[in-house]
Amino acid sequence: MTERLTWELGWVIWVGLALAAAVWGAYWRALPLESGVRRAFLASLRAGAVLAVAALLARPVRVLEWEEGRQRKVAVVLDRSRSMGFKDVGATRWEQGLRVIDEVVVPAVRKAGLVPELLLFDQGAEWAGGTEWRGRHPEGVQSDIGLAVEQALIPADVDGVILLSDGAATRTESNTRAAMALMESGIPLVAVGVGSDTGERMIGIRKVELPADAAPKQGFQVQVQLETSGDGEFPGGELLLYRDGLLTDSKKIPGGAGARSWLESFAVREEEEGLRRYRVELQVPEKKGVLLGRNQMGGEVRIAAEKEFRVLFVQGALTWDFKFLSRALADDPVVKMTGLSRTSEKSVFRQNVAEEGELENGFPDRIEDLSKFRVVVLSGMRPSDFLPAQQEALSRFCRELGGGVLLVGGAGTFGGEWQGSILEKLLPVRFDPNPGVRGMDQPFHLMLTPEALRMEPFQIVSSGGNAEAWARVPAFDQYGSVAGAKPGALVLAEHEQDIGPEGKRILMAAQRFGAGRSVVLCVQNFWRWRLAKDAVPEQFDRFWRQLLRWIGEGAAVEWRVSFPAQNLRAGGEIRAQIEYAGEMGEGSRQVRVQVQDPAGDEVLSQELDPAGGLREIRFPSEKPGDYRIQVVEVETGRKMAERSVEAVEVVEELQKTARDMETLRQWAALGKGEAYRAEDLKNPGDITGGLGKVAQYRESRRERRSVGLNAWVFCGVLLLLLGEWALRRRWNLL
Amino acid sequence: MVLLAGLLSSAGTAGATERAATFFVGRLKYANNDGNDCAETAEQLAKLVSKVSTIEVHVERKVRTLEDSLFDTPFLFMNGHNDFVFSEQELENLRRYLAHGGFILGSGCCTNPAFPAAWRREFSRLFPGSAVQPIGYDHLIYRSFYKMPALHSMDKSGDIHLEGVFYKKQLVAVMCQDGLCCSFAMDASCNKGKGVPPDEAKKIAVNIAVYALTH
Repeated sequence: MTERLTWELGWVIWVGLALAAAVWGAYWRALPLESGVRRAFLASLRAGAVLAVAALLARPVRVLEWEEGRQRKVAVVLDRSRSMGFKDVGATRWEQGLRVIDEVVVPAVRKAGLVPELLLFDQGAEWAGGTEWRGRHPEGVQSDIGLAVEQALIPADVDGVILLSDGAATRTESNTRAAMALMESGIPLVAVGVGSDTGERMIGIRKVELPADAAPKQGFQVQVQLETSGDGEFPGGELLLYRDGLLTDSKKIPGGAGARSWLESFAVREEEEGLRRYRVELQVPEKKGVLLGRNQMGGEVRIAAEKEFRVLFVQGALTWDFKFLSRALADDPVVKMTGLSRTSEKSVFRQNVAEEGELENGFPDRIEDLSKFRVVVLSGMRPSDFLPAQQEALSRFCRELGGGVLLVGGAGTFGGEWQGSILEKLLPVRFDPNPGVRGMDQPFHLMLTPEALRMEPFQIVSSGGNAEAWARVPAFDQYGSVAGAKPGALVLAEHEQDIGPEGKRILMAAQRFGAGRSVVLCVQNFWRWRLAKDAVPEQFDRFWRQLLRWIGEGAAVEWRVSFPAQNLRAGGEIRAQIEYAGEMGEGSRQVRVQVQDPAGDEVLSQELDPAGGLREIRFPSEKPGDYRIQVVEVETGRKMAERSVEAVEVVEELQKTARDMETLRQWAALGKGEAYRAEDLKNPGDITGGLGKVAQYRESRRERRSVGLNAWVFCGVLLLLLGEWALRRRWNLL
Repeated sequence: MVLLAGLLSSAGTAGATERAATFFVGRLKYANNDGNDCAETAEQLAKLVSKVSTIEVHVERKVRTLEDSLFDTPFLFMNGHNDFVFSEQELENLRRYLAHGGFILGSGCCTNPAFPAAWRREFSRLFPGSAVQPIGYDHLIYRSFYKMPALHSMDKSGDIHLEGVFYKKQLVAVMCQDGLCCSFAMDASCNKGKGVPPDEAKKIAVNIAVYALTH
């Protein structure tokens, strides 16, 4: 609290000073004394008495102020609800509000010695600093002026509130509390109404949704969410779909009445791979009072035969196989390899992980964590390198999710310890309990079986001469021996000379395991093929790209979620279509469709059979916001597809778009302030009246105590006059 | 890429032999160089890698640029003091070796300027349009095992940058002109007070080896 002395009639002090000076001069000349000092002393006593009387007459007061040394604030409260995005005044209401703040409010507030502080509100309210908020579009689905006013009054150093809004308040629960707080505090509220009093109807595109990836020769949807706002009729229009800048499809939009939000969609099918750019344009005929909002939106779709195909390469130590396999996949647009290698007793090396925490705890022991991959490669590993839970997860990954498993090993890792392990069960070979160390000194060639030579993964040249190309593959020098193939396994390659108990030693074999496929490659240091002097690296690269795809093809299952054309409003119902787009077989399983509302609560849970074709589901959309539809495999919990859709609350916010000055005037009246129309505020002086109320409030917060009429001052005057009288008597002037 | 504790419970490969070992280093005999400058540096590099990892290593093996055994060795080390010139046959072999996935680490011995100048000139002849260029500190090779924000010099005011050759966007050959091999193999005893500090040299040598193994 600060304290200072002032006078209510300050001019009396100036008159008193002049009078005292005149008295002093006249008295000094009139006194019959020779001593100048004595004459001056007596004249000063008389003038002092005159001055004291003048000070009494000027009504001295002591002023006490509440805050010490702090600048007082004005809360500038700006509406950011969706209605502020209406472009009915040449610019949007939001832009109009910003103009008033920049050109009128801020300069005027600063000129008054106050600090403007911005509070943004819609259904909530938050103080805003910096300039970041300026770039945002007003997106609030509701607006609550009462809540904003309440928030603005909370800080103790606020001397006034300036509210900028179109007055289209859709929530009123806080109004009573805010009105009470406003009246009790006495803080003035100045309201500025933005927008036009007539209101406008607006039609525009709210959202366009495209899949990031799509396969050639398979259809997908370009989904367009449209919305209208304002009262009255809207004309029909046309939606145009452009593909790479060329018109490719169009659709008539029927006219309608009132505010609403609805979905339209285009069915698209691409034949070739590539990157395609789609743009949707909305055209409506000109009609008085109807504005066209955002009328163009689009995005890119990558057309590729496959979605991202992730391979997890796990190895007991860093090997050259990993490096050369990485080289083989370097230019592949689809296959991405993630490495997990033990580099020392206490450290592992993670390479190309998709996110920060992926594989942080080493090899996954949960099937969900493995489901991100299509193939797991185990190189130079033994069963004892894995915990039982990790082995079980890998087995289920292959059996249930259709994932691929490739085991690469040699003499050092293939042996009796594989027998009876969980992993051994999924592999296509039986292990030899005493394999010994073979093939260390005898280079050998990989002899593909006739079946393998006919298979797609083993086609390493574009046309003809495939067997000859394989014959030219360089010799290898180490292999792990296995006892033989399991029943039903397919032997792909054999040793050219080494004979085991069941014939030629198997170097490569494969089998189906549940929905997936497992392969064993008994050759380590496979990298020698690519580095060899006479090798054709492109053949090595092609082989590995094809082999990994073949091993992992069981995991390619497709579920799709799409939405038919419909109104999307909160409080209604939303329809979605679910379809299994993969081939029927071991990989196609019963799924559960789960829908969560914007609060995360489940509003639908329904099981679907992949054989059922296109199914439509319906779920209630009570709350406004995004609804998440997930398709989850019942047996494994694996997520197969996910989409979301927004239910829009169509309320007064969008229906009655005219500025509501009456509401704003009522708020200003409650706050003993003033209400202005934004278009009337051109410069800082235009809001002087409103800020005057703020100044008055500020003044009223000061305490003034009179210090003029009291006995001490009277005594002082008397003492001065008595002193003069005593001296005149002593100096014989009486 | 992150190094983390604890993944797999026990060791990897066993029964190491020269051909089975993962990280064996070929010591390159090239042009008129017999591969004996600052002796056994390649073996020291292998030991460094072995010390910090589970990677199986083997003693260095001399490899001549004109021999086919070049193509059995995915990692080659070359160093020297003097100028050299590759023959056309050597260039062809090295070009094929690097294109097939091989990797070469070069090191100027004792900060002698003749070798680095020749290395730059000769390696710039390998692939048209792919001249030797400095490798910025944002490259993965400076953090593939140890995080190294910079490589300092014991005798110069500025930091040291590795230099390299790229083939199809892949770094296939790396050279350090400032006595890297002297520092990581002999604690710079042959190059006192010059070049890369020995502790940094050992780290960057491991980084280069791990990078070569993973890219």
